[in-house]
Amino acid sequence: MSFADNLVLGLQTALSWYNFFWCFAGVFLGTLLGVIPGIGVLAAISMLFPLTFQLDATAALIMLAGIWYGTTYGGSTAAILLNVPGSPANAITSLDGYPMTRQGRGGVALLMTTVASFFGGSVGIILLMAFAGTISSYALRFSSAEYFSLMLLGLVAASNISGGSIIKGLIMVCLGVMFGIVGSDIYTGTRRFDFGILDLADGINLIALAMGLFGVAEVIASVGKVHAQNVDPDSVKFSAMKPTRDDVRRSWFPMIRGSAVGSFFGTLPGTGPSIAAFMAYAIERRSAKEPERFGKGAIEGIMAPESANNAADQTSFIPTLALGIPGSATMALMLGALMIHGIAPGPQLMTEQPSLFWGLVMSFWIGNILLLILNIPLIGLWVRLLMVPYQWLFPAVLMFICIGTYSVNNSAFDVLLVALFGCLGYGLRAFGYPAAPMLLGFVLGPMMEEHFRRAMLLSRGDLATFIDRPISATVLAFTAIILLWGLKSFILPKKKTATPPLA
Amino acid sequence: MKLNIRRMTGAALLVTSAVFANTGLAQDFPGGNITFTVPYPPGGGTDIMARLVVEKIREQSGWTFVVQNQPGAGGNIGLAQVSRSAPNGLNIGMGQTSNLAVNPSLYADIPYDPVQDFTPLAAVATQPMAIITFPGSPFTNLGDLIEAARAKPGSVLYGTPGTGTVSHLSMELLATRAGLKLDHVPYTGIAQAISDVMGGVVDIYIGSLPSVLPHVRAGTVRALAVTSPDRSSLLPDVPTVASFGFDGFETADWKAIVGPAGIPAERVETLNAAINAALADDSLRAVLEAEGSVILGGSAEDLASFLAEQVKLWAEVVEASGASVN
Repeated sequence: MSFADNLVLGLQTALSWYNFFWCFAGVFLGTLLGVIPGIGVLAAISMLFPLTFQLDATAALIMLAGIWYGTTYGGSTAAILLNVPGSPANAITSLDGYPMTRQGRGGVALLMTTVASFFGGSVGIILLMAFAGTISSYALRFSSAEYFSLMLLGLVAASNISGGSIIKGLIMVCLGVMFGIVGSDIYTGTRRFDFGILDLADGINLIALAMGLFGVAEVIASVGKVHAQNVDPDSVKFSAMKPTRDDVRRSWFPMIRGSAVGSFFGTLPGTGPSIAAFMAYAIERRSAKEPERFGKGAIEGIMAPESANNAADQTSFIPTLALGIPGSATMALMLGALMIHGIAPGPQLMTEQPSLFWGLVMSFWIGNILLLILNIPLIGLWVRLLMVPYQWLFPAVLMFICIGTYSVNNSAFDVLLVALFGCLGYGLRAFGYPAAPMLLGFVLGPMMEEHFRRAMLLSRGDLATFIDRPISATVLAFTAIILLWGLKSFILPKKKTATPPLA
Repeated sequence: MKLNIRRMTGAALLVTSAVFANTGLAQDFPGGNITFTVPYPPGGGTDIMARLVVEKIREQSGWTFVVQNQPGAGGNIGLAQVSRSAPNGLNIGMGQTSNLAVNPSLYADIPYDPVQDFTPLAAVATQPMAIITFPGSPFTNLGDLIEAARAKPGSVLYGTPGTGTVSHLSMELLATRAGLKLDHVPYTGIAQAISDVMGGVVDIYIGSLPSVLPHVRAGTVRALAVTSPDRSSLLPDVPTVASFGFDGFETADWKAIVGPAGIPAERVETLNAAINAALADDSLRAVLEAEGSVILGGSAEDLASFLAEQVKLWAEVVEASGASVN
């Protein structure tokens, strides 16, 4: 079958009323659950997983996928308006999104992130349609040595992601790594730092940590500080959503770079939208002419991560569908939905089930267009959320965070962790320690350990493996350049012209 | 909070379930929702099998189930929860080789006794492990591999889905019986492992048959042997480990439904009958067999004696392999 035949087949499948309905149901639920802080995509999909028994395989997958990328669309809303990210993948968006809200530009931020999400999603789908085979074969060349080098690059590039004191940023990265070490050592099974608590045997739950640090801490910090929210009623009008010409001009390149970064990380099993969003933000900050604008409402700081996480959402289907290798727990769930219908997910899926594969891919277009249509009119409604008095809004936010965290593992212990990290997050904030580097260390640290040790096992203890493998060597060279560049501007006296500061 | 979630799941079930005729296996049982604990995350092998069986029972008997995923600590948290619940037949769950037979020997602080703290209800199915390698590998069969490892101890790297998994211990059992030294590279599940096998980064990988079957079928990896006593009907060309001179070699990832200790005998019987009736269904059998499982079923007593045997067997394997945790 030719490419055109496949597209027609896919469109026919995706546009059947039955599949269209489930696509709509998926993206609608996804974007709604994404807006609600704490209820992450995994929890949402787990809850709706039983429904897939009643649907046929294509519709089931279309719906689950719709929830997956729909959540990322919606996840930026609370991050921008309330400084409470909908999911860890949106945490970084709050760094510049929330300041925009405080400047009365929340509507603009929401509109622009919707556009960024659509743009990133589209890039991801095009790659998935045209190059799934090629990309998946290059993803196979990534083994543990490459992953380690890539994580190292990520940590170095993003070490000062929040700006401010470098020392404080580094301390927070280390703290994050330390929290990441808790749990079973995957190489020996030995439990580390779990105080004999069985619930910590698998480590600290990412959702609990992120929601505590960002969500609960923000709620605590707002207590008593915020009087009646000073929302200018005009700022919720439709006209207030209109971006300035400057906004649009500044958004193009971050969107393109963000989509590229997101597409790359999406295709690698094990990484995903959260890391993609962090990296995209770090790259914008580093390549910016005026990095000091970041953290104060720079539109680049929301466009790059939001296009990155949506691109990653779409390209993470490449290894899943083309190789049968699920890159994340959520992708494993999607393959599980196929297995329930007796379809073996694997490399032959594309050829054996063309209507399912192309129907799903074309449904991504429909879903993304639906999300665009769905989200823009809703912006006015979301911005009005700010006019809800805090004594009503924040208890509701807390409740949703608790429900969301609980439902990931049906674990009451995780709810306690949220409270704990909320207090910690508030304390750190009070002393000016940024939370974003801690989340970064928490996500990257354990992955670095896993891949470093596996690379050592595979190379039988030869450190040269990191340089002998060409991809790994290239990535390490980049890392070295960034480090040297940073050191140079640190050691050499600053000129008055725009020498890039260490940030 | 618990109530909220229950209510949400309950509502979801109500909405999604079509109404089926009540064939009435017992008059007054269950008289409420049956909470079915899956000690693993949704979408995994155990979860899918549990949901398929539960769905079939629901269809046949009209009972209402609330499937609850309680992952963590290799399934120990969920099963501990089952062992602590009220023994009225309304709280049951799916255990399997690792949390019912392996972990008790492997972990010092396991919060239940696999034989004393559970009422066995019925065995469900079993899956062999398969040893795979990359298509261009120098090992054409398991014999080559064993020879190579003998000639140069420690030259063969084998990947597994994790430390202390049935796959890991199966390979250690083989190494012990063959007098070999193989080097272990644990992964966290199949995703990166299969990519490393395809790329020849790791020499061989051992995992459950359902997890590797699609890749074997696609020809991206090659199966060397299966750990069941007989060849799998899905891979009739792949020999058993036993056929390479290891008489009686058999390891499997089996799954069984259990409840807390002390469920009244007549309820055990009712539940056992319902599980067996579901497992007799052709459509369910077809789905499970297509992925590489062998249906077990049988009486509750069968399962009890099987469990006791398995606990003993794995205690020996764990001891012989020298693997231990804490």
